Amino acid sequence: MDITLEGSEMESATEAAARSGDRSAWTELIARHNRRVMLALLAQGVLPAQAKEMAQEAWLRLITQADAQKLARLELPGLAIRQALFLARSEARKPGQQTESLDEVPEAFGESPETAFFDRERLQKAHERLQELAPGARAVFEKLYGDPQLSHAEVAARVGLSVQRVRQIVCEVRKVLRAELETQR
Amino acid sequence: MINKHLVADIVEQYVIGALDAESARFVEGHVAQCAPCAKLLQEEAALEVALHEVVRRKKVVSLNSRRRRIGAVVASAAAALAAGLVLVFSIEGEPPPAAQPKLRHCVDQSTASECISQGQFDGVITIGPDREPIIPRYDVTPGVGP
Ligand SMILES: [Zn+2]
Repeated sequence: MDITLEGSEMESATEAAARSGDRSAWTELIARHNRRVMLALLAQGVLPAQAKEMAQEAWLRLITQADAQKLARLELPGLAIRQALFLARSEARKPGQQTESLDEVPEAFGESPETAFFDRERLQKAHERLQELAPGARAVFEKLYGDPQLSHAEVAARVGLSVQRVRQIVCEVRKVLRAELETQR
Repeated sequence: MINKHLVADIVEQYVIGALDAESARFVEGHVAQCAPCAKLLQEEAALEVALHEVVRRKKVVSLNSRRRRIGAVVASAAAALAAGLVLVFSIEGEPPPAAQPKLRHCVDQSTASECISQGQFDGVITIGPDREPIIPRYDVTPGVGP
């Protein structure tokens, strides 16, 4: 069954290199995608300390699976998020026990690798609201939340703003979209 | 003993990755022992996840409008999303910034332990004497920031 995949989820050259054992490629991918893995765990109510452990464990398992040639494709961040959420759920089911050994990456839990917290109508409304924002603010926001996902510093450099201003914009847009998502509750 | 709860702003700054290491550790320490603030963090993280979906949604819509322009029969945005069509078209934007490979070999038995510890601290993957990769622990970079 098909699952909904991230825009970035076609295997990149870096992902292919990582899958065939290139450790520097792994390092680059972890640096780029670990934030999304962490957010997915935090959004499930996992506390930061545990989330860091689980994210780390998820990456380690992916590397181990790749080394054992058990990964047909490596598409990030979705695969790492699914692995991390699987660990979180295993942990929740069996507190204090080791999770079972994983020979394969678990299947998706539902259609998205990240649990949908808001229904599609709300997301669509928020999307429409986003379109109404000033083009500059929207561009900054889309670079930060789109694919490939860029850091604040990278976006600041590309749009010629300070990092501080980029963060202000993020908070302003977040405020608007938060209101949009929450008024629909 | 917790006297004051976290203000929403600092939790937001944490999830968007804007806090310095010390402030991030403060947030993490607080939520570890305060259920209401842990809940606030969870909500902010959930919003952050949703915002990625909001931006992704745009791409579904633009696929469909493009397809309409060329007269193809398309499903609704929702159906496209359900079918995983996001895969097809969402390659836009800029190339990722240059890679900064960080890998350290710590294969010399006599210095491996120290080398691996330093690697953990520096946030690099180390390869130990047994050739197994050791992933850096992320608590050297608190917060979830990019
Ligand atoms: Zn509190």
